[in-house]
Amino acid sequence: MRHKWRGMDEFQQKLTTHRNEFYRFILRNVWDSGVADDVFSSAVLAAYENRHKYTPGTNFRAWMYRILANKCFVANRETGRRFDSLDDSAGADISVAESPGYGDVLADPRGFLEQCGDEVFKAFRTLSTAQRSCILLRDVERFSYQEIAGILELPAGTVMTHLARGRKKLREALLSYAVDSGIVRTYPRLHERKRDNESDQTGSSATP
Amino acid sequence: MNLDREKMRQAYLDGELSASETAEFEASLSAAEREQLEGELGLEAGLGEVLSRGVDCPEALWKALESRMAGAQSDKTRHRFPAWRLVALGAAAAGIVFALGLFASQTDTVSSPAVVVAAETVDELALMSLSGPGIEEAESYLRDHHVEVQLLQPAKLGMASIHGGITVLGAREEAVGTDRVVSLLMACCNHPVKVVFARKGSAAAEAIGKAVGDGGQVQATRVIGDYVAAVVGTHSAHGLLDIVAGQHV
Repeated sequence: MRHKWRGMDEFQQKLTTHRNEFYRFILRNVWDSGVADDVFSSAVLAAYENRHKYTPGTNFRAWMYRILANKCFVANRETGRRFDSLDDSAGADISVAESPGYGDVLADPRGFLEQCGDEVFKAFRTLSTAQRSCILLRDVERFSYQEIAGILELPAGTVMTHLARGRKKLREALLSYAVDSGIVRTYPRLHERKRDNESDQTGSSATP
Repeated sequence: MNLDREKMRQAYLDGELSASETAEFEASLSAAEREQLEGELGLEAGLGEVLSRGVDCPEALWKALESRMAGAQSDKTRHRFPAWRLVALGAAAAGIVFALGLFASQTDTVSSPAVVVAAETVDELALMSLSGPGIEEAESYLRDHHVEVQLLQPAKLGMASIHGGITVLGAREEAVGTDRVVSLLMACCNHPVKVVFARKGSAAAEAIGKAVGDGGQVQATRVIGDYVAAVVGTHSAHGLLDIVAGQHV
């Protein structure tokens, strides 16, 4: 059953509480702050006009993100950013985990990200709107797969695919930058070499 | 690593596994895998932190929006009807809602987004695409969503001699109830139309069949290999079902 808002205050209060995270979602999706302001305004006003469609007591954030995500998809097409196609699966068989230097990344992920600096944003920008939205909704806003599926109007399996592809692409781009700029080494780390040597010796001692 | 294992791994990283699934998955990990997953968790958490950092809604923008919302509210208050009119309108609206409810309960399938073209223009339909424009992008999207068909160039279709401007705008996955279909978004004679693919025997295919009977926008259906394909839209374009190659060998 739908209830009426008690005046405008309650709805606006919720918008006010979450305005920064809503704005962040838009900015990280359309990138240009001028465009972000327009898209955000359009989304907030659309939400306000349709506030009677929201059922108090249900998930307000999820309801709002549905509007925000739709606006981002439209904006990215309108502004000529053709990032929306599902990237093909070329390279999907090459696991980032086996790429040289990735061990260093995982040994100190936060330090690695600090060193990458703005490259994180540059790499994130190359993802499709769907991939970006899934990653933002999952990693930043902490929605579940099912909630993201509801927000983006996609099956949960597709959400997982967007997440996996987006994350892989992001890791590949950052790793490539890190290798080129010497942040990580592409040769095996000392303890790995030690471990390999030890296992070689164990192997050779067992051999008659 | 096989696909199920990859998915399991991702669901584990995202905390989407149940307690028993988590325990089972953790028990299957080697020490090296466990160490790697811990690193991946740290990397994902770090990415989340970086992406959430330092962005606030500009105060001036928010103030402007607040005043626009307040303006809209006061406009509404100013034009408020007398109470007796509201009561009369409410009763009338209740009647309409009841009638619509009855109608909707009989036409659920017809109003399912997959079996109608929600866009009024070709441009609007193009905006709904989740793939890039053109045959190759659409084919690739279909393949990614497990619809293995090869598409013909629109100019080669028999209907091209009497219909103009047949183009592939893109593709999109849509839900039919709990099932899903993949739609090829097209333009024909400057009208938006779709060719919807549902797996044969699925709930979605059944819903499409029902929609034909309900007299909605589903114009024609055909079984093509493992799929039921349907042309959907208000513009008559049955011949678009020929767009799948290999039907007339």
